[in-house]
Amino acid sequence: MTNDIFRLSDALTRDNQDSRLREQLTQDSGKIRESLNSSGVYRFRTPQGTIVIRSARKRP
Amino acid sequence: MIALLASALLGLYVFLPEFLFRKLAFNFRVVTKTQRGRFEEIISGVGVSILPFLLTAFLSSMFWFPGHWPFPVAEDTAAKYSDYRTVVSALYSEPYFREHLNATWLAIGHVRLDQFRFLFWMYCALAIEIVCVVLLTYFFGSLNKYRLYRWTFGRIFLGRASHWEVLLTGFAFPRRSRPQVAVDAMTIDNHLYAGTVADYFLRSDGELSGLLLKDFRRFRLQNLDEDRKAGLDPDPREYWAEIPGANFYLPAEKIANLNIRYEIPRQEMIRDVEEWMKSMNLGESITVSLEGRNPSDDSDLPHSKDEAAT
Repeated sequence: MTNDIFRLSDALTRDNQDSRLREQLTQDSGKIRESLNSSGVYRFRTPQGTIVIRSARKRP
Repeated sequence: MIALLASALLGLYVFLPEFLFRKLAFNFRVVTKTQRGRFEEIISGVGVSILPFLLTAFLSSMFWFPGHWPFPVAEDTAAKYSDYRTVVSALYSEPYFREHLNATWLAIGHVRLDQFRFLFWMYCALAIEIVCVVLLTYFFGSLNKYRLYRWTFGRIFLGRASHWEVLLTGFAFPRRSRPQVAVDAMTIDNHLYAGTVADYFLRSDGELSGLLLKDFRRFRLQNLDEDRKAGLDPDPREYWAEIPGANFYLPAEKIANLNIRYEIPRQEMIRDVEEWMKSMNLGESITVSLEGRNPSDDSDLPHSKDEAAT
């Protein structure tokens, strides 16, 4: 038996933004690589703003 | 006289440690749903004092230094017990006190110094206990995965922690990655506000009495509805309006519901993405930046007034 505070914190931290961000990056890794190679930039939206990943040199 | 002395001892050994512990040890909101009775206060005080008391008693009996310093009294253990017997006898019997006036005052002096010494070490042990509790609470986010922590510290000390502390602060998250707490608050008169939680306030029964928001915005729901009715294809993200001012207080009785988000601080998010990009081995020429701010995802926004009201 655990306290309510532990159940609540488990529920909150199980699906936090940090892990969702990593999941999204992992899922999009193919797209990110492709976009960076073609246009040199990849954007994705988060609640805090748009993350912009830029590659200085485009690959052939 | 005995009642007076018992009250003083109860205050010094039980109530004062409990008061200090409650004031200094908990860096989260402790909530007692019901008013505590005298008996519960005594039990709570004994719970706080028992460890420092036992530690002091053990150290005083085992080691010379804590048993004799500060307030030294030049007498052996048998004489010490004799002093206590004399004091107790004098407290019970006035004739005994009158007959052994000098011996009683001498014994009272010795017992007083002995008690001061014991209390000195006990309050030192209490300070150590408070520091331990502060540290164990401070690192809740990292330690709460350990079963031992949950079953010992969690059960003993965190049972009365407010759930609002967990919901409205980064308390549940590890210290190194504490998120900002952002809320979308729908009020009972159908206004939607968004902002980051700067502070929150509780009523005496432990329920929320209000929220203090920073970086707050109001969603112009009525304008969105009107534009939709007019057949336009509005972008809901454009209907957030900044509210002038630095602090926005939202009384709890006005809140219909809260959507709580735990956002990674912007710099930390950029660092996370940079680290992840490094792991992809795309070379050193990658830069990561964060542009603008979307007040909320489209999915978080109400699409009609009826939906917003639910």
